[in-house]
Amino acid sequence: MNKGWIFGCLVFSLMWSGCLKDDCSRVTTYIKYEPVYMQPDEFRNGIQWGDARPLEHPGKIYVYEDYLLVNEMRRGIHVYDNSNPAAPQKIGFLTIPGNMDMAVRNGFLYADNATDLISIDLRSGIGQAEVVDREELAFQPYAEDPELGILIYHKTKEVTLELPCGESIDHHVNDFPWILTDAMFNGGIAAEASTSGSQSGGQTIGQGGSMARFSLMKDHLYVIDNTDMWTFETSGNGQLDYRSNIEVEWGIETLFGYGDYLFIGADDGMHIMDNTNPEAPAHLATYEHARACDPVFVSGDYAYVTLRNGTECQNFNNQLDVVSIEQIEEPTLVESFQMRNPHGLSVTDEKLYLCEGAFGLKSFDASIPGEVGNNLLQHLDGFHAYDIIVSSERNMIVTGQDGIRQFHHEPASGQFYEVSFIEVK
Amino acid sequence: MRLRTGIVCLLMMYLSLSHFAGVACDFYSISKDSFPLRHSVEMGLLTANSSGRAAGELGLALNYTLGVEFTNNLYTGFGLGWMSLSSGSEEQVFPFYMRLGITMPDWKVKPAIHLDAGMAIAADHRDGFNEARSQGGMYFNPSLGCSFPVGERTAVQVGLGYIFQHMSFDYLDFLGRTEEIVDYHRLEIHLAVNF
Repeated sequence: MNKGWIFGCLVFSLMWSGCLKDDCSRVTTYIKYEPVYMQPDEFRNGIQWGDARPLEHPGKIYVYEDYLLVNEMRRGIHVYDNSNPAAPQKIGFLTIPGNMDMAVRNGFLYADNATDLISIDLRSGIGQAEVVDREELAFQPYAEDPELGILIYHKTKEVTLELPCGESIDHHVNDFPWILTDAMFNGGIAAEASTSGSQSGGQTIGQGGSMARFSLMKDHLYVIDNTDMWTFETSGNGQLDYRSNIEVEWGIETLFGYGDYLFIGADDGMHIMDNTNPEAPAHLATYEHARACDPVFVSGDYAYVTLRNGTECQNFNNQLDVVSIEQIEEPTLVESFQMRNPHGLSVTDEKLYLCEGAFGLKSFDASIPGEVGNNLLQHLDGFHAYDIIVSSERNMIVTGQDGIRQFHHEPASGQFYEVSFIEVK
Repeated sequence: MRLRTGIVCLLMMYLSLSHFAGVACDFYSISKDSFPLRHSVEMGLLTANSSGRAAGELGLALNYTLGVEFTNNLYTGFGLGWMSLSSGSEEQVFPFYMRLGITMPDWKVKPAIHLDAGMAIAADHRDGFNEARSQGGMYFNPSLGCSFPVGERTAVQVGLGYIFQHMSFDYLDFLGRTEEIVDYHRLEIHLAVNF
């Protein structure tokens, strides 16, 4: 009787266990990438000057003479009269579809126009937009559609999706095996351009930040995409002549020209190119580091590299690396300093200015490079900062998610204070 | 930290209730024979399920229940335990519950019914790489069994129950943050020693 009862229970449980199913739902919040296409005629014919407009999605900044140029991501360039940094005046907006980068030399603006590289004559004054040369398909398109045109980038949108646990999410998300995000063109988040502003030998070159992908040196324009560096000779009349291409690796992000060398920040290291022959730079050395977003700034015998974390950066470190390039073919790490979320940086007058993302701006005494991280001079918090240009002896320009800030700084002490702010609408 | 807090809370509850039962008995001069304490140690085997996160995997449960018999065929108490709903560490919980039980004292082989209801704390599973977290939730376990005396105050009980357990999991994957909300429905065959 008892055995029968127990046996009955077991049979009963086995019979019914298959009928019980767990209820499982999965809610995923992710970034959906929607491809944005443009017909070649649309982006090639869309270049024009217009009235000033509000800053919405600021990208790279560039300083040329008394002008401040601010990239509006994928749309064009805001132009400000910055002769008085305490009160920059809007001048106008130069529409360049697909634009993310810029550089200016001798009155010619070099900019990307989706897949093309163009030069625009500014000599007759801001307000003119004559395209004097165009290198079509200077940047290879990642995809083309016979009807929609060329894939320019992917627009991001946060999506929340609820599915039963067993159902695959794959066909609900992205159709593309690779994604072109703003971050890929901006050194990880959003950014600016490199090279020191200078005026020598009758040449006037503008100045960008540490996250640039364009660099002007020795009558040549150097441009990086995600894998390659392209070299164009720039003539006095704004003509662009393709000279060479060198494949670096996937994941290169920033370009910084210094002396006879080009420093390329990649997501797993820093590549040094020998630019003795400006028409055909050659790979010289690589300094490897953990996978991270990493703008580079070079001063004297030292390269300063910031590594930071974040979704795009696939990293769990936030640090400033000081790398000796005294032996240029064998770059060696001198010291690493823990930071909070370091982005762009600049070194001038033995002071290092460092953007700390959401944690503001810091200055350090860099007179002893190997101890720079221990010698904090000032930390101004409460705003977002991702790149910086020290535009003159006393002025520096900082970009962040909420706008463009300008600071007066004291070269001797490294102290600084805000003098103006262009706010994002 | 969460696990440690939960265990401490359960221990405090147990000590308090035990103490309260003893003090109350002394205060009212009620002998323990009037409201005898009833201990139950149970081990359960959870049947596999055909769907969900842990499809096809057997589970295990261990519980201890302290009860007080109010009448010959009605008792109540509280208990705590450990339950694994799969072989994965993230699906382990520590349930704590109140129990209402009914027995048939005059029968030689006593049918026994009990109803457990409470909450479960997830084991402190964390994965730093993908920031995974698991959380427990409501726990519900009605069961039907049969008790066989093996001593003066000791009996062995076998039974069959149903377990409902709510849990949620969230983690980062290649897409972004994902939350899974799971209601487990399981049958349980259990073996208990009552004393």
